[in-house]
Amino acid sequence: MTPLLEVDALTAGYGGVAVLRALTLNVGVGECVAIVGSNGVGKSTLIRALLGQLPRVSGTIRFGDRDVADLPVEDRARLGMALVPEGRRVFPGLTVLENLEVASGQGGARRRQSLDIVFDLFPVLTSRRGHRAWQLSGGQQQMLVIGRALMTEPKLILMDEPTLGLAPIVSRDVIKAIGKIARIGTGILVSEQNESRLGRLVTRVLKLEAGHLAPL
Amino acid sequence: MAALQLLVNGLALGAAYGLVALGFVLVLNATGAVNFAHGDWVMAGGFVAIALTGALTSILPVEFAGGGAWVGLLLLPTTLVVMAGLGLIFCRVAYTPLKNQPPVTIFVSTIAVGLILSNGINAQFGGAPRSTPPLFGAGQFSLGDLVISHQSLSILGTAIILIGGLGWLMERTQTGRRMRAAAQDPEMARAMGIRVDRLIAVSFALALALAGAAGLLLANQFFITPSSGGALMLKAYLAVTIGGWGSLRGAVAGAMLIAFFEIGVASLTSQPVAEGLLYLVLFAILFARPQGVFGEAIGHRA
Repeated sequence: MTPLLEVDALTAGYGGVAVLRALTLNVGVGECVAIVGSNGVGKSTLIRALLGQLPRVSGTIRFGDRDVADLPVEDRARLGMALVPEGRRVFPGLTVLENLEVASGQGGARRRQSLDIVFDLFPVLTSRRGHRAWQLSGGQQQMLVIGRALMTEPKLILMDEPTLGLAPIVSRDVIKAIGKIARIGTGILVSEQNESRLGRLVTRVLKLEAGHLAPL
Repeated sequence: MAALQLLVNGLALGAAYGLVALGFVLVLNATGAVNFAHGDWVMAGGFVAIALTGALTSILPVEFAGGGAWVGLLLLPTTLVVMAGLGLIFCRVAYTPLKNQPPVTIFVSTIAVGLILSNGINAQFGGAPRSTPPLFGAGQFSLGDLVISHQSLSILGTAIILIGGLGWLMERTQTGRRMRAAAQDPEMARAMGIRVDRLIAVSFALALALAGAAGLLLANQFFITPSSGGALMLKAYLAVTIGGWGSLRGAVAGAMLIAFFEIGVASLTSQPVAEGLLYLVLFAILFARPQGVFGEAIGHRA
């Protein structure tokens, strides 16, 4: 499998305290990898470090043949990493449509094409396109944030507990959508609580324990 | 007829104050910090226009330079461009090195810039009141009893174009959407590949261009001195507090209210009474709607 993301001996943390310790992992092109682990083992820290929101202490991060470990967040995003953060983080004062449009690095027909893909994936957003994002329910906001990540035409989406706090029925819709995204060949690295709810979508499940990967 | 006269003058003054307040809000939204030098930048914009008038009159052929109207027309775009350039420098010097500091540090840095501006301009131009040339010559025209100066109409027209242009930029273009997104959540904006630092620099450039336009327009009728910045800063701050912190629409509405008191209410009472009443209204608004008239476009679900 062609490697998309290669992380080798990554150590990162906050204020001199290492949360990730010499962590090594790979995600192949089009692969959907789940990182499971309980609260506080470093799942969010890993995602922040991969995107560059947190400086690494040591180790390497290669993304699509490039060493990205020293690149700022926006450059990593432009190379094809997208984020679905914990706690959703829509742009609250922008409309649903604007939240999607603002993420697109493309204009004209190509942006409209991406919009069509997102509205096909989440039909409920279509009828709410003119609403301010803060007016949406939690589940709709989660869909909007996943759609927003898709608008950047990413090679890899980093998802931080995308079903956290959602009602089971909404959660099912979100998981179904993640499956569709995986099937169109977008790489996904998704963090979840103790076990993966994504089932057969996931090509591999990795268990994070106290800052490094543990056998399942 | 007198009321109509006051209305036109009040709208013109409010429009100019609106330009001042909008520039203030642009930097506030982009950086989350209060730019306390903004009033001084409006004043500096007036002096930039005065210096450019000298330069343009010496470059232009006499038949144009003598006409007055031509100088005024060229003055607006050149002032906008020069001030936008100064905005980039201001951002680079007073904001960028401090961007990871708390907002209060940036606040102090802008106070320093304001003091440097007013003292530097005092040293260069002296403290006497100066005025800029009118945009379309000094004439006026009358409709019955109604007498309107060309300058009042020029202020109104220029402000409508600039405010409308800014509204279009913010609401209808990808750059504007990105500026609003970056203002709401800069970290998330970066995570989508948006070059937030570049947008902040653009905000400074736009803010100072608007300040320059306001300085050029206001300094014709009201004169400026190197110490005019404080009063202008206060008006911007008031307008934004009344209209709603961070709201562009609110900034213009607040500016209009201030001008309504300075011209309309003052003509019925007196300048000091009008000013006192304005602050009473401010208190009333703060009690009834602490977030300002247009504040809180963003709410929270229960």
